[in-house]
Amino acid sequence: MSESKQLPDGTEGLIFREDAQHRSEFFSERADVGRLLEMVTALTGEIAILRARLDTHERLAASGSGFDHARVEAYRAPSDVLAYRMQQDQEMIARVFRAVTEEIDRLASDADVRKVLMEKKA
Amino acid sequence: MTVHAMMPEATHDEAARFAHVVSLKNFLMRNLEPKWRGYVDEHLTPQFAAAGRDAAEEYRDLERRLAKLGAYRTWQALTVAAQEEMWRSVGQCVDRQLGDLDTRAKTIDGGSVRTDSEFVAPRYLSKVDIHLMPGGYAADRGGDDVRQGAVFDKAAALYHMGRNGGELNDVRGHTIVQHLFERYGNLQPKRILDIGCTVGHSTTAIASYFPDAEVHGIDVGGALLRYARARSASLGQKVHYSQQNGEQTDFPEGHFDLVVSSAVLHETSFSALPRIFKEAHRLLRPGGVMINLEVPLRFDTHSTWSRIRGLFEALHNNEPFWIGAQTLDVGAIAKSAGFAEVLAGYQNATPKADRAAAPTFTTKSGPVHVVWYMVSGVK
Repeated sequence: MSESKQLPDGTEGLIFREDAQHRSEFFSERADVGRLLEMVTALTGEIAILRARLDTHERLAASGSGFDHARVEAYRAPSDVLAYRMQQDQEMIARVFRAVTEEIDRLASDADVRKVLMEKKA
Repeated sequence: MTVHAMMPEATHDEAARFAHVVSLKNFLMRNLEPKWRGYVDEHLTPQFAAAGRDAAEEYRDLERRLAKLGAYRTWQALTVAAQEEMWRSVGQCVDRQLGDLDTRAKTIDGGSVRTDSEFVAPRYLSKVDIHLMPGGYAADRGGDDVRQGAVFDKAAALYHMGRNGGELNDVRGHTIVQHLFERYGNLQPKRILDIGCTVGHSTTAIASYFPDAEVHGIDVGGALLRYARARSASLGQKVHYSQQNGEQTDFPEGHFDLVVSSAVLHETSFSALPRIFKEAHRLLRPGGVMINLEVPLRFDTHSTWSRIRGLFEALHNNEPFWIGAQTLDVGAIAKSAGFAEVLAGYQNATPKADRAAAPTFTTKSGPVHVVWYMVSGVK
């Protein structure tokens, strides 16, 4: 089931999924695809944390203060460092999910997809 | 150093994880979503028009067909995953220090909190976990529990990506006061009620302008409200919180000079919203003012993509009234509830209200967080 089953509540204006009590599943007919996507997404988070920790080590080293576990834990990135890290992080995310970006770009020239999307309701 | 004494502290790696959640949301909002918007609004919609059809009118069917595309489902799944990761990472941070937070709340004096173990949250808030927040607004372990409030507060800045006043998340409160100063400048409220106050983000900001006023906030969750009281007190504001349904409260008739709500109406329903306005009318003394702040989105002005995006918000971010609220003439409902001099328009968001500031209330809309939709009136 790839479609969102919608249950509009005409009297209250509320729209729920048919399975509203459960999380949304977008790849239920290919659960392995959904799980893989979740794992890749989670891994980007782990990479981001590792990179932040490495950046902290480098900055402490450059400051000459030396680093150990306590100093790393106590380090709080100032706003310019946070901005730098987020820029790096977003570039990493864009590289990881590049295939998705390119696939959306490709759609504009796909006449078959357009035909399907414009099918009149039977 | 946190912005107030109740805010959960993040370790080095927790802070990095939170930043990553924001990065992921940024990527989805600024890189991927504009591509879907461009494809749907600039490519597909003209093709529909050339065929004599209105894609915006067919948005539900179009959304179902888009969901056959792997790339579209990947965008949907990533958007939900980012939201779920936000709640999961904040939840882990809060749980690590929950005992300390519960204890800390008791040591901070000021204001009051009144919970009701028999309270039942209305269906529009209880059927699903709004915003995918596990447990929703109402989850409460009883006793001194503040968990749901701590999670909501810590996550709110990530959810708004800092655009609602950073970690204080109080721009909407200041914007409500700016509207009051601009349009009802003579009102000197002695009693103020904030309906649907959550952890008091707006309530606390509003209270800061009226140090002599008695300020109340109501919402549906005990843990949310225990946290809210301590949070407000830690920011120097004594606020009285109680667990109540905004459709029918236990306050006396004519008790308040000012009744407000902040981004609450889109989390109600067709029948609840008019009841909340009628209750606000009952609670106000003659001459009292009601001000509601809402998301500045109107369904009839939406492009095809904005409608599809709204459907996603309703179905997959658990905002069941997201579209319904945008179809309502909220000003007309305020008039039906008995309010006079009803205003419906848009107020520029401001981090600080100022009586001397140039007026910004207008009928011209703008982006969320830049302007807010305001509906106000006088009893």
